[in-house]
Parts: sequence; structure tokens; C-alpha cells
Amino acid sequence: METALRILVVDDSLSMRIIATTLVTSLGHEVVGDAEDGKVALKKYRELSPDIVMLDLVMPRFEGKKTLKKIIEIDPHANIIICSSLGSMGDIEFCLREGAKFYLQKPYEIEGIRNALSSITSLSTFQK
Amino acid sequence: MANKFLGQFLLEKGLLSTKQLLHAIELQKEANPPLGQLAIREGFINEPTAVVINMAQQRSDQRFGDLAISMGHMTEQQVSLLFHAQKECRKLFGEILLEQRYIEQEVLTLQLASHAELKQVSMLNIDTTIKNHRYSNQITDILEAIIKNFTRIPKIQLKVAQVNPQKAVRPYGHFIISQTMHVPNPIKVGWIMSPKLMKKIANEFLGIDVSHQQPVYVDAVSEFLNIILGNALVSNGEEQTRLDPPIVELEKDDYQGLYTQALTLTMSAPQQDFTLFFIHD
Repeated sequence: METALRILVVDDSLSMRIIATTLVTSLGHEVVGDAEDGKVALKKYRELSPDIVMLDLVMPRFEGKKTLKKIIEIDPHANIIICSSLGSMGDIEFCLREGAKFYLQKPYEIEGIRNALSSITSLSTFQK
Repeated sequence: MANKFLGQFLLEKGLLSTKQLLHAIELQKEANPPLGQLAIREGFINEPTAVVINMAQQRSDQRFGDLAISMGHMTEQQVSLLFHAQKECRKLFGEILLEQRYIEQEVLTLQLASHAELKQVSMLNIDTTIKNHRYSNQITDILEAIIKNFTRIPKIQLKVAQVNPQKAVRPYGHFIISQTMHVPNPIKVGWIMSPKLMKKIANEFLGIDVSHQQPVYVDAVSEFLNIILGNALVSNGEEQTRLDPPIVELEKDDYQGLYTQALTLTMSAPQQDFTLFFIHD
């Protein structure tokens, strides 16, 4: 098995945090923290230094695109996977250009999460 | 299973890297310039005029070319020339991937078949009220996404049982969960559902029994709606779209809000009907 990754799950929906945690754990990785909005996510990112952030886009208080920009400001090498029900070419392009390393469209499928994680760990810039 | 743009589909399958995807999107945009851009290039209009037409387009449902004609900025012949030019240079996303050698023809053919299966439309019998509706495309996409996503919930085979161009009423004890889609005009889409049906959906969606945890099953059904609407926006293919987070409302019996027009559909599942509503200005 690959080395277990430490993951921060950011989603305003408790259900989606449950599903993401279940799937990520079943792949042998660890969810080190979760956050229901971008503000909490930034705080936890600083505290926990996770290997990977799974970030939702549509959130009520501090939405995903703003959070993505802020995390990249703090850490330009942050490994962020956008996880959203939205999947327009425009949204995908925006997030990848802003520094997200992968884009997953909900509902989650285990194959997608596995590929997202292995695509990030295989990048030469991946640092743990 | 969600509707996905081909590039996103291949990315999640691990057949395309994010770098390749971004490059292909860039080439796709170059090969499919918007009509306004072509009109400027051909000298039919200048940039400020294109902005004015674009702004008018945001307030109406008309296409750029139709608006340019009705506003007197272009002739029918000029618009027709532009459509022809647009068609000539158009490239499919798959073609770009092959040209760039990002994927083998054989692999692409296989993946296209599986992608088409994902996009396959259900045999929706669309009522004339929906067909003639101002937001017919969006409503049809939402219905398709609902039916597709409900296939994850066993023993519920949905169909549209009734269509009413009127206000939605909440039966006692039922929940209203809604979300506003901006396409770019706002349409509030929501459902009115019994706790029994919500528990069933939530349990299947999460894979655990959350029947006794109301906040969790309400959240799961809200997220289920969010996924459906997000997927419906992908089918619609409009770039100027966004989605507000879902909201749960319990207190309103007469669900009209600030909007002036509503369309109500009764979605029929065995003994578990629910109401779907679309409210717009």
C-alpha cells in the first residue's frame, strides 16, 4: 500500500464529509481534520499542515474558490483537490489555473478519489 | 453517476493529466470562439457594441446573434455568415485530444461509448407546459438529473405525475429544501418532501442508517439536491452559471417568496410522491 496521506476535508455538508471520510479511509489514508467553511479550513490548514485538502466549492459563508486562493497564498505548493457538484469547463479551468491539483465532480466515486490521490502523489512537486 | 464534461470524465478515469486537460480546454476555446468575438474579428461590430449585446443577453434568454439583429447591430446575413464560420472552425474535444496525442484513438472510442452511456437521456415524457416554459431546457436537464440520481435509491422509479403552473403548498410535517441556480437569471428550484422519503434517500446516499438523526438526513437530502442541480448545470453547458448553497425552510406553507412565477411538478414514486418546484421572476 502507498504511504497513508493526511487529508483535510472541507465541505459545508456533514453528509459529504461523512462520505469523503469513509472513502478516503477505505483507501488507507487518514482524515486528520474537517471543516464546514473556508474560514475554519484556513485555520485547520495552518494547524494541521495536511498533505492534501479536499475542498468543496459551493459553501454558504466562505466559499470554495475564495478558500482555494487563500490556501495557495499561504502555501503555493498546497495539494488541493476540488470536490464539487459543479462541473462546467469554466469552473474546472478556473480552479486548476488557480492552483488546484485535481478536480473531482460529485457524487464521489472511489475510482475518481483513488486517481486524484495517486495523480497528486506522483507529481514531482509533491512534498510530505 | 453524474453528467460530466468529457475532459473531466477522462481526468477522473486517470486517462488525462490536469496539465493536458488545461491545454485541451485552451485549444477548445480557440477552436470555438464565441459569436461576438468572431463579429469583432470580421469588423461587423466593435468591442463596446459586443459588450452592450452581452449585457442585454444577460437580461434575456435570446442568443447573441438574435439580439444583435433585433438591436440593429448586425444583419441576418452577417449573423448567418458568422454561424457558418463558427461551424467551420469548430473542433470536438475528442478531436483535440487525438491531435495532441493525449489519448489513443482506440481508448478514446471506448471511453466515448461509456461517456455517452452516462449522458444517455432517460425516456422522459415532457409535458407541453414544460416544453413551452421559458426555462424549458433547464427544467428538462434538472428532471433528467433527478431521474438519473434517483436510480441510486432502490425501489423508487420516478415519473412526472402532474404539472401545475401554480404555487407549491407544503403538507404538514413536510420539508422544503431549495436552492437558487443562476443561469444567469435566478431560478429557485426545490422539493417538498416527507420525512419518510427523506430518510430513505439519506440512508441510501450515506450507506448508513441516519433515520433517527434529523440534522443528518436533512443535510444528506440537501446535498443530494445540490449534486442534482450541479449535474444539471453541466448538461446545460452554460458558462455564466452558478449555484447558491441549499436552504431548508420549514415555516412556509404557501411557497411563493419574492418570485412571481412558479411551476410545480408532482414527482411520483410508489406511495412516496414529492413536489418539485421552479420559481422565477
